[in-house]
Amino acid sequence: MKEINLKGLNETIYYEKLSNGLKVYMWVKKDVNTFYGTLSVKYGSIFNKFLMNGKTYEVPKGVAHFLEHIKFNESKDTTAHDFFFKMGSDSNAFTTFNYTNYQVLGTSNAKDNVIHLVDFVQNDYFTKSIVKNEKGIIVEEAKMGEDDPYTVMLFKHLDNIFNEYPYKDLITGSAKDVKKITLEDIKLVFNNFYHPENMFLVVTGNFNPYELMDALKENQNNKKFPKYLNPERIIPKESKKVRVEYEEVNINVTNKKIKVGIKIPKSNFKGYDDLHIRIMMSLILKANFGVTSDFRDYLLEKEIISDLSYTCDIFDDYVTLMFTIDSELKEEVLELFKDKLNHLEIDEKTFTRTKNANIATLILDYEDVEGVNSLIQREILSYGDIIPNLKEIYENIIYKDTKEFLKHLDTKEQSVLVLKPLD
Amino acid sequence: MEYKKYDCDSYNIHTIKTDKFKTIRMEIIFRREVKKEELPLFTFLSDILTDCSKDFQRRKDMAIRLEELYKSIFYGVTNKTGNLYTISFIFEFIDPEYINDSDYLKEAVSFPFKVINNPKVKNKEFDLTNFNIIRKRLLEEIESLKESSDRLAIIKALEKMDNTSPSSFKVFGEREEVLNITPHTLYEAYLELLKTSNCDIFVIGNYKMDEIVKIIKDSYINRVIKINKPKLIVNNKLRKKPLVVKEKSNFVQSTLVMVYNIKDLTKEMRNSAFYVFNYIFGSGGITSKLYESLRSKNSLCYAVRSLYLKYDELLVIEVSLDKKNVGTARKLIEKAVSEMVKGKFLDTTLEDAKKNLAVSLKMSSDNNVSILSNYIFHVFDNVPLLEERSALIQKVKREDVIKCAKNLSLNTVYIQDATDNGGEE
Repeated sequence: MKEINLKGLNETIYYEKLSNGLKVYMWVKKDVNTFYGTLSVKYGSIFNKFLMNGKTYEVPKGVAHFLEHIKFNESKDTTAHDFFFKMGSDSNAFTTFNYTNYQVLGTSNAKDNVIHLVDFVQNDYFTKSIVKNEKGIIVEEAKMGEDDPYTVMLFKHLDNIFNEYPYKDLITGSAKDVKKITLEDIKLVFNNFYHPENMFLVVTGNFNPYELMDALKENQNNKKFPKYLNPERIIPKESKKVRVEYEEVNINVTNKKIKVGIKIPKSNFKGYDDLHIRIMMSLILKANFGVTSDFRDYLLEKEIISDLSYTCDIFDDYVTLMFTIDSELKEEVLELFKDKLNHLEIDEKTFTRTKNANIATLILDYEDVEGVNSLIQREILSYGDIIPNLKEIYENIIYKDTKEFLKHLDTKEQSVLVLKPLD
Repeated sequence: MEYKKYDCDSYNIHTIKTDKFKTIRMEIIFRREVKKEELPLFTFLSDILTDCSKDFQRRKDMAIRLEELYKSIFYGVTNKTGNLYTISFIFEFIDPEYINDSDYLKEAVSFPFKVINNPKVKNKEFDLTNFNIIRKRLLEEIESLKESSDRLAIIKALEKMDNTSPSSFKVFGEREEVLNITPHTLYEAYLELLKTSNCDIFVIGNYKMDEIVKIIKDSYINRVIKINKPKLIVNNKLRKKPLVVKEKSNFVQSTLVMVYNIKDLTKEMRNSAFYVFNYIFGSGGITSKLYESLRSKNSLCYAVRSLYLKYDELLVIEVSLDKKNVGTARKLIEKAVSEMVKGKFLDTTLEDAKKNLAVSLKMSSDNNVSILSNYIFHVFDNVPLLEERSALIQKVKREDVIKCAKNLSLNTVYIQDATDNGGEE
């Protein structure tokens, strides 16, 4: 087992890739009671079209999430929850665009709990009646999403930004999609994506890493898996243009909201990897739109807006910046935003303060058992592996770098979505 | 964990020393009994006091200072727990052990007091620009309650139950009440807050607490003598026959809320047996009776939950589902209550529930916010410490759980009906 030292953070990650391909990451904190195990399968809602052995497959939207729901059934009369309940542990799961995550949280018997987590996720028990019974529940969950204006506006905005990318589709699928899902779809996905080669396990908290690793090896060596066929997600070709430049819709919001989305091809940032794109964007967005920015302060003081938030994401070949603005003054806001986006800036003092604050956050990140687990997952999913020298990378960024990065930031391609209350 | 209390005449400082965390969290809490007309005033006040001050004229200036203090966090929050109203100022900063800066501890610990002691006030009025920013935000927050179907349904159900009960009051108040607040009345509220509230300061972290306490004492002088303890419990009236109210909404799903009074429980049962009852009944997630019945067996919903409002002596059950299933869901909920009354749950379920609650308490002791939340109510209401609560839970017997169920009395059924096209095709 390898011990990876996180430079400057005084933290160690235990790591090993098992012979069947399963990657295991562990972070130990002896002074807590809790342990947290997560098994991630790199299969999410955007994988409904894939290529395997030269053949193209397509499954209904929402399959990843559906599979997550029924995965907990272990046999006709038992679910994984029965086991965890007896152990005094808590188990849950979630599905995102990119992956499905299964979790167990507890305070004792970490080894048995984590082994059971791996066992139930790798168990292939599915029946027609399970699929049938779960449909009603998932339809209600999808409808809950329809009642949440923040879910509705996010997916509507993604729909307007992207032409072909499947990020516009609800993770649950719509009620119609859910009804189409069959046992065969579930089996096809499980058999080909729920393979140790396509999974990683992260365990954080108070446990013995050597004992757990031995148990995991024994457990995995006792199981047989078919050859991994490396199914590949089919990524549609996406135009540089947004699908809809401007739209107004009425939804169940009580105050008018304006969403401004900016679509930038990743190829604009030649020489920058995803990590550096995210770090630079974070510094620039904070300086221009964050709570310490003059622009935001001006908009609030003049009562042009009442709130402003933003995100930066990478969707395959595109970087998106998405702003959500609470304002009744649409024209004025959009005019000011347009101008601001054309004059993005960062001064050296702000750069240094923001960079130092981000470094302080890195130190504090390694404290909470669940938080560290999520952090490790995020690094693996975003960058392929954990980054042992993250603090050093932050420290090495100099003011000149952000000024240079700004030159690549083309904010012309915009999609504006105005959300108005229902009558 | 080492607990210590420092009596500072007009306020108390309570410290918890533990080496589990890299941060130090400080909560400055003013507490008073709930008075409907005061709720929007003090919520407004907690917002404006953490938005600006004489030293930090704008939110931006405050945010810059917090970043300079190695990304410290500072905010105000108001809470209503039964009949207790708390106005809290929360400040969390990195333990000075991790920072090579000799002035940092003093600068950090004194920061929230500098802000609270020096509001941006001129001629007995809060600054109008900041006032308008906060007012706009509060009005929007009040409006936005209507965006969340389940929150809205619970608020409405409690209002229908009894709109004169503190259990039904909203912390933000009503739109009109906020509109009636002026920069001057807000300043008067500020003076009132300092003059007539009990004040306690809680600190959790791994630093030398005596040093922190000394800085607090130097930074905060409150001349007000401690006042009597506010009463915590709300005595909500019982109904002979439950009130049933159905109202139309714009949501795709219907929401059913059932409010039960919890009668005549001893303090010990409120602190232990009812948690076990509720775990088995509806708060224990996927293994609860309600979840089993409504979701697993009948596929009626995605989630169903029961909320134990201890100091309101209420149990609130909430479920969102297709409008055609509301009647079935109500019957199943009543059946689940009746099964609990008859003791229809396994001994192993009881033991597992106790075990799971003990685990939750153990997990809570890994989190500074949870430790502090529990300790605050230990100070305010003598709630057992986290480490003691687990032992009390283990003592709960089958008959205690049945007694909890028997002491439930249905008060209100509120149905927030889905829009006409919200049902299944």
